[in-house]
Amino acid sequence: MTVDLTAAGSSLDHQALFYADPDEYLMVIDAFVRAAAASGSAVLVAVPGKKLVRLQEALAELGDAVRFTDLAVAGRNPGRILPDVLAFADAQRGRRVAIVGEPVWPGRSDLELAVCAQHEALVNAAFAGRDATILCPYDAGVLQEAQLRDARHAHPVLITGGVRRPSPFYTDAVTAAAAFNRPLPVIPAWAAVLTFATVAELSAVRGFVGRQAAAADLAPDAAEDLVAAVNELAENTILHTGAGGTLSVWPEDGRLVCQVDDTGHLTDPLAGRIPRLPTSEGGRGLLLANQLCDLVRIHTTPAGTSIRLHMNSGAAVQ
Amino acid sequence: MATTLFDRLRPGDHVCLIGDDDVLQARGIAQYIRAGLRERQRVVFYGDRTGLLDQELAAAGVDTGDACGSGQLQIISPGESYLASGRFDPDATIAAWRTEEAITRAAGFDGLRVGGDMGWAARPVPGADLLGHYEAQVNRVFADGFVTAVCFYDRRLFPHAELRHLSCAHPATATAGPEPDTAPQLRMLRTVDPPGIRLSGEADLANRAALSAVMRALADDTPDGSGPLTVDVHELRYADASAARFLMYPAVHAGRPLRVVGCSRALRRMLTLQGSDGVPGLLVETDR
Repeated sequence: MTVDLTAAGSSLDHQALFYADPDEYLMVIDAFVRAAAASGSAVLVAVPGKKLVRLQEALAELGDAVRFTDLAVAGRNPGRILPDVLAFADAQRGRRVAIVGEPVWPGRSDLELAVCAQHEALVNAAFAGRDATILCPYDAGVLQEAQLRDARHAHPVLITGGVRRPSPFYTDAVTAAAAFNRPLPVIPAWAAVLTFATVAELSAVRGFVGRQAAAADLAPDAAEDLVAAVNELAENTILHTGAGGTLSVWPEDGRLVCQVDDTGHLTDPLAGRIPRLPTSEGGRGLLLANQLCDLVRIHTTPAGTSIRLHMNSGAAVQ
Repeated sequence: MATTLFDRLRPGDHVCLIGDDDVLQARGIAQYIRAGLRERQRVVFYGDRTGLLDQELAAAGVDTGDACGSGQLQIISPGESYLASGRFDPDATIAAWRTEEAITRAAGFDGLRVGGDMGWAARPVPGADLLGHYEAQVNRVFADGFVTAVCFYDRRLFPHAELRHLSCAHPATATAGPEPDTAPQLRMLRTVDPPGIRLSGEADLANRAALSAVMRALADDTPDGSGPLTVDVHELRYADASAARFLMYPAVHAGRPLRVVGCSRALRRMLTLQGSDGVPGLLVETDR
């Protein structure tokens, strides 16, 4: 069984690979990486843990031609994957890139999976017009049908049983991204709540998060990171809405959760997923939240925006 | 009388004091003047000398005849000072501050304390739209650590958004009241040995324009040519992402070698996430 994975012409080729077993996984990706490297593309393989090790062994002879990233670490927060991958592509300065990205694996929580699905959908917009081939493996034998359905909606091209065909569920980048802009679960009644409207209250916002983090036994470093992330979101609320916002904080199993609700509308679905140069101003709040937190979920409508941050309290939670 | 914010101010402070009550504003100005006279500072207040102000000065125990006669206190109306030319000129006003600072030092005072009733800027004065730029840039003078400044703003006279913009150009903002008691949020003092600046307090959106203006000009405002600059952040309790970027300005924009010393873990992490590892000539030292 051989699969021709190379699309005609340049520009983005974003494909989901539904693989049945480890042998098919290894065979298809091995061929994809070797073909890409041979054609002069810059290659990034970003898959989780043990799978990464197997691919590294299989592709060892390609040496520096392939960059490997453990997505179980770098992509624990799926919102962090796109900035990293875009930074990799930017660093190639126009050279074609080939990327193997596997953000979805068994054991991901439903909340993480929602952000993974959104990430996959946003790849189409983020890489629009770029010279890139992106192959996203899905373990069809193990993953739930809902996850495979999300993948069919987010990828223009599907590969199943060695056959490459356009996805009948994919329409365009904007529609795909909008489909994953889903309402967040309700805030529990026991959440601690603080409203804020002015810059004079930022210090109080930070103090509030710091105290909640201490009460939830968050490690000091994680607490500082969460305070910084919430502060940036609160600054965005104050800067971009006239009406202030509401901060809710509550513990869930193994994590502390913060949600900022305001009356703003995030019109750019890629907000928080595009890397920035040190010299450019503004537009970093959400990116920073993605870099600092374990999970960032966003739901935005013209009536308002909700941004939820997760910070895990123990090393055990991955 | 209990101590107020005005007794806790130190040279280098620049406070935006927002109120909405004529009596409280006059009382605040009187307390501010009194605190300066007690600290052997020269005190200059730019504003109209109203009957209400005289009353509050008398109530605060300030002998204005004495203080004005000795030259320690001056009360000057805006028309005689920064609006004398008929328009507000930020650069000329900032240059005048530098001159006043030199005169005050030469006269042997321990500091210069200035206050301004900013109500004039709500009137249709040519150049009043440059006030935000001025309030940010004038921090470069105050960072010498000789001048203490409080700008009295009446929220009834300024649109909300404009007042927010103006307050962010001050390192500290307080709300007028019977006892305005918050400590200044951010302090910025340039240092001579080593050349650079010492920051303390918290830097966020509330003082973003102030920190940006001072850091962007730090290389220009440091006399000693092209040597390395030191930003001392031992006492900087918080810096948001923008503030972290401003700290790197002398290296990023002026190409000066730069040491950031006394970095907390949180600030170091913030600097890293803002790209500090890729800035040539930047050394970040963590020791707390």
